Amino acid sequence: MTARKLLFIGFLFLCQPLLAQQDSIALTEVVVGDVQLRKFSETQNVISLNDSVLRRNNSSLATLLQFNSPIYFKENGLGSGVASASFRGTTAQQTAVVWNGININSQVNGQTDFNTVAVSGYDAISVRSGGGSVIYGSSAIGGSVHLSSEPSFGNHFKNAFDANYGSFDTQRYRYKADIGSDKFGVNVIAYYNRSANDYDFPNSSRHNSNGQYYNSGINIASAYKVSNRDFIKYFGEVYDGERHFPLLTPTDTKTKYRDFNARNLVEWTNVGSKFTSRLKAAYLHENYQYFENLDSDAFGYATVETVIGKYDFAYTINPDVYVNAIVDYSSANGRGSDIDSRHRNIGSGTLLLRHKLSDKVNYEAGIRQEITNNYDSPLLYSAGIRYKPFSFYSVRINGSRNFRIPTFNDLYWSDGGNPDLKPESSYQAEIGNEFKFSGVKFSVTGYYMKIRDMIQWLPGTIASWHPVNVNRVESYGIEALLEAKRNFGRHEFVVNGTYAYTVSENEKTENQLIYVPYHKATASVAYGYRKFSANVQSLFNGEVFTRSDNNTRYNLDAYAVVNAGIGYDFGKSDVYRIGFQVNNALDSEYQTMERRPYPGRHYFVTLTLHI
Amino acid sequence: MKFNKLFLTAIAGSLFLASCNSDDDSNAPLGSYDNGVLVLNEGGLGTVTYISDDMQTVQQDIFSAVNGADSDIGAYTQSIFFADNRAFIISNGSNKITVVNRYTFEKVGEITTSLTVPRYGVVYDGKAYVTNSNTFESSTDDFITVINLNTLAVETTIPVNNQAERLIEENGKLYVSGGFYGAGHVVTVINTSNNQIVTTIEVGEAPNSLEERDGMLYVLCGSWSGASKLVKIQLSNNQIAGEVTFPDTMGNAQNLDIDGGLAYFTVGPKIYKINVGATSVTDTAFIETGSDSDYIGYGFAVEDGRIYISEAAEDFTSDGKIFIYAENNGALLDEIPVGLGPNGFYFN
Repeated sequence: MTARKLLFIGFLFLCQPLLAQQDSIALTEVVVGDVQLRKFSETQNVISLNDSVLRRNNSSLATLLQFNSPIYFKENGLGSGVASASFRGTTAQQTAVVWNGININSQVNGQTDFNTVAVSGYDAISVRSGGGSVIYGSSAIGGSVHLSSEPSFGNHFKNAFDANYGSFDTQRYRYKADIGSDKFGVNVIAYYNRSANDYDFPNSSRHNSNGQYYNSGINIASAYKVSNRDFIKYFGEVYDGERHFPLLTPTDTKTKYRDFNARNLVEWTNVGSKFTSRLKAAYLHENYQYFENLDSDAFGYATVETVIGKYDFAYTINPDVYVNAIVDYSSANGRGSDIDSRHRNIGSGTLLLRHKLSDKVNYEAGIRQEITNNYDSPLLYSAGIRYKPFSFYSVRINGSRNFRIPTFNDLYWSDGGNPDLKPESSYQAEIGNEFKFSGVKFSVTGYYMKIRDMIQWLPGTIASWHPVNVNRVESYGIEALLEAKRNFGRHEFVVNGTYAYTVSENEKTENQLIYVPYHKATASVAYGYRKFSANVQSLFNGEVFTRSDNNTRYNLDAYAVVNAGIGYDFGKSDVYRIGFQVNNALDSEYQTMERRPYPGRHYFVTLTLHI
Repeated sequence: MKFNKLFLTAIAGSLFLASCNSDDDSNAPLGSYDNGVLVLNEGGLGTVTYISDDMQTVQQDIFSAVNGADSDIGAYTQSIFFADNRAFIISNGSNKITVVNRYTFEKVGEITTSLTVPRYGVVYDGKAYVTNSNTFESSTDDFITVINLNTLAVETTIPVNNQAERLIEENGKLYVSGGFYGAGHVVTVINTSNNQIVTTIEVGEAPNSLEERDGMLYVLCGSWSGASKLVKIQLSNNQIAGEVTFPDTMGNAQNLDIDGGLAYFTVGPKIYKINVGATSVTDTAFIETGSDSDYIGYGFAVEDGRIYISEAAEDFTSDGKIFIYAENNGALLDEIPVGLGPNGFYFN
């Protein structure tokens, strides 16, 4: 840990000479890795969380999305243990996390632990509701979360340094260099986060024991303009983190979890007058180590290395018709303490179409087939249409078939893995209404979804636990999103809100799934006046069941949490910002899992330098 | 403190009268949770359900009711053993033994040292002997914690060098079954006078429950695959005196409980009854519970003319329930919802 710290400090010093020679800031042209997110999301909801929202919520991706999206999270207290997402009432394995266009859900367990993604590492994070398997593959059932790095061309040289210090000895540091010329753009982020996380439980003699964590990482995103027609892009990141798992009772066996992830993506883009071709190669490495008893050095582990080759060809037939064909091949090698060395190859072909029929009507459609010898892969498809009868109103309809493939654990776990599993598959349809007028965007979307062949580990006759395709789930609900920006003179207001009504039932028992609230709402207001800024963000979470038979005796109560912060910018050309933040300002008592309380009111001081 | 049903029914109607009797009346309840069955629910966080002998009073989570919600008996409570008026509740998730008055359930102490995934306990000569699984990876690091019952201090630990699960004490010796989630194959014999292993007896795949009758140790072996069998060990010489192999259709037999001359056990949702001395077993169930949960038989006991069997919810995220049958004719007497993962019955 000390070595890691030293490395980080060394890195900062290295940057000092660079800081001195900063350049004037020119207009920039942003480079993105995830083109489909923009091109093929017109008939679905996308929430884009920009840099200022990310910087205010730099603790973990779970916290960011808890307060700024309709996704529900459960975790063992603040920032502790595994943070599992439930999007539109689905399971943690039915939300895809997409890094610069590449699905990075774990091959081992099929999900992304939202406590192992550092918000600090990205320039933009988007949340796309509903099916996306045609584009993003496995797990994009409830929706997908997109992590983007955005280097830019144009002469610029920006440095930003953020430091946060707060309650429970929580420290967060982030350095970002954003450098560009006409031909070259690079963006480097280094971060280090740690916390003792030993907060007192409200109204209890206990505290969060064994909740400490740290994580650090470096993210690089770069683009080089070889010619006016050719670009080379590189995205890379390394994440190294360790979390202790907090104890349910003080004498529990102490455990911890280490994650090491490295991701590399190289892309060559060739742009013609009517076409764009992208050749991509990616190498992903994921590794975890689980220490089941800290008194011993023994640990269980799994490692998966994945190589992906992808060719993406987009053709603009005429200004109204755009087609995109993608072929993709991925080869994953996994091994671990409970998985023998295993190999899995998956090939896929995707065809996407976008067609503008008139100024009022456009539609999009997609189809994807995967081929693998590991399981039978269903044909995936999606189609959506948008009708905009008035400039302020549009209606969108979208339907899709999506899936979640069995994981290495599901298929190959040495004691009980089931090689005969099918993917989980889902059909869904949604209809959305969007209103837009003078800086206000408001949408209401109703959806319906059926998921079948849900994989569940059950006690079996050949091993203690055995996964089977057993459950069927029916979900439906409403998602409402609000985004408003208003200026009154030099007073700026940005208001965001989300509301989700979610019914997600096991078809056999007709019970609501556990840890899926019927109601969840978020609201935030950001205010700026000259050099002063203030923000309030809040979360309301309805009651949740914790028992599959919906026995209300064990329900977790509804709760509301409010965070508030103020900031002031000093300096003229360079900016020095000092901020102060109060989390859980109302000192609410709440938990997202049984007997896993969150802290009461707590504080952060933040210092930001933009040079 | 065992009462038969008739007697209880009689005193239930004349509770006032009974309470007017002199204090030394041994039939007077010694606390709110006397004269009933304690069902241990492993959790999540463990709880204990109390069911009165007349099955009319059911109270969930009696420990919290008595000691407050801030106090707990730990995660994944595995079993309970008793010493006089005290009950020792073992939590394998929290490495803790909570000591309560068995009749009032007031907490009187706890043991939190020298326990690593503790499982089962027995009491002999002022000491408690508690098995510990220790790490799950290793099958040779299991041990027994020896606890002084007066001070609740840990005196020593005994390495078992094999899996150590259920145990009984007989003539100062501990008989420790080594069946653990379908694995293990020995019974380890330990002399309590010097805490040394006397011998290990190879019994076959997964010895999961054991009982003693008339100088004979009966060990039920059953695992995910292969036939189940009942092994008899002569305690005088620790030699196998015989074994009865069950038909193939009766794999993974569990929960041996001997009552009088009859041995009861379960195979999936079925309860079987054989003569202790039987030399062969046919697949004829005494009771078919009809449960479709794979966790029927998660707890099982035969006591005072009744057969108790518990069913944990298949997904382990709902409360379980118990079924109570009459021992004489197998009639279902009651079905009662309890807590999460009911795994054992204890009798006050």
